[in-house]
Amino acid sequence: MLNQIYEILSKIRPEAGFMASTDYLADGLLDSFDIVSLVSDIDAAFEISIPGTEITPHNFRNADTIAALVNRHRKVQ
Amino acid sequence: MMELESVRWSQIQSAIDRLRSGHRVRWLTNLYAELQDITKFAMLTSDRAIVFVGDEGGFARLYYHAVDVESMKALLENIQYKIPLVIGYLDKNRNEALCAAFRNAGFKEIAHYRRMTNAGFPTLASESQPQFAKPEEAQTIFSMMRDTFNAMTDHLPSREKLRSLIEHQQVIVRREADEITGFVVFQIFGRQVNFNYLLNRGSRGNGTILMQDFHQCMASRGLNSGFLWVESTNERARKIYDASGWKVDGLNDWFFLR
Repeated sequence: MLNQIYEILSKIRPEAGFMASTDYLADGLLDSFDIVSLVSDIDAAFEISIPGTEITPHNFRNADTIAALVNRHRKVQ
Repeated sequence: MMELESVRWSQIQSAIDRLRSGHRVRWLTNLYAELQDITKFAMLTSDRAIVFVGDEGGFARLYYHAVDVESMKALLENIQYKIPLVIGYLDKNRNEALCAAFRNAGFKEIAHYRRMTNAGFPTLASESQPQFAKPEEAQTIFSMMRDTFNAMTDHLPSREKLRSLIEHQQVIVRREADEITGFVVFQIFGRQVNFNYLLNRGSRGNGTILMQDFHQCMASRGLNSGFLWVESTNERARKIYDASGWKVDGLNDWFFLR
């Protein structure tokens, strides 16, 4: 799953070094505009629907927190 | 024509979640964060789109979350609201069909901003010591911002937000004879800074000193990257930022008013 997440991230910001960062927002690799695209792509790739209350900076901090978010919603649905 | 219905923020969130769970699409939206400073909302929904407005005092900002342009167009053209409506549309590549939908619903384009980023603020040899705004100057700075900037397009901070920024030393000022002649307002997000506002009413060289003060302040906090928004017609400001290493990164913010 992590590889798939990195692939999605690199399509949104091809120039960013996601593997070298543990906090994408703090490091300026993602902003709130990117997160909207990212949520759509994650929803489509993993066939989930992330609710608005879960679209928080904490859940999009890095690939691990995104993977945890996806796993939570895969289990629920 | 349809009147928007008064709602709470939680009702808007629930409506968006319901819509999102029923469609797997790349959403058309201009909502990028929770709207914490706004308390009055009104909303209009269909089975494929949600349009809502947040009252900002004198005008309201319109947000949308839609499956496609057509579904949003149907709502937009039927909206009736008591005060002027502003739409901010953020994108890398302009969606002409979307802009046409705004125009068809009676909105006129009023401004276009470009984002600039800087990943290496200049290192300064300057001995300048930035002066920070004092809490008692909050009202003066608030009034200067309201007089100078455009509330519809510049997302001005509320009084409370400005007080908080002053308290956290995120407002640098220049004073001449005890009068404020300029300031820089910024916000820090992690290791990034949003260079929000620069106002200069001082004598020649005041603006340069404000920029130096800002860079000095960033150096002292260990920050060397950030972003700002500049109006596309403001060539003067653009040249100043270019000279300090800021570069347009391709993200645009267009504003429409009805």
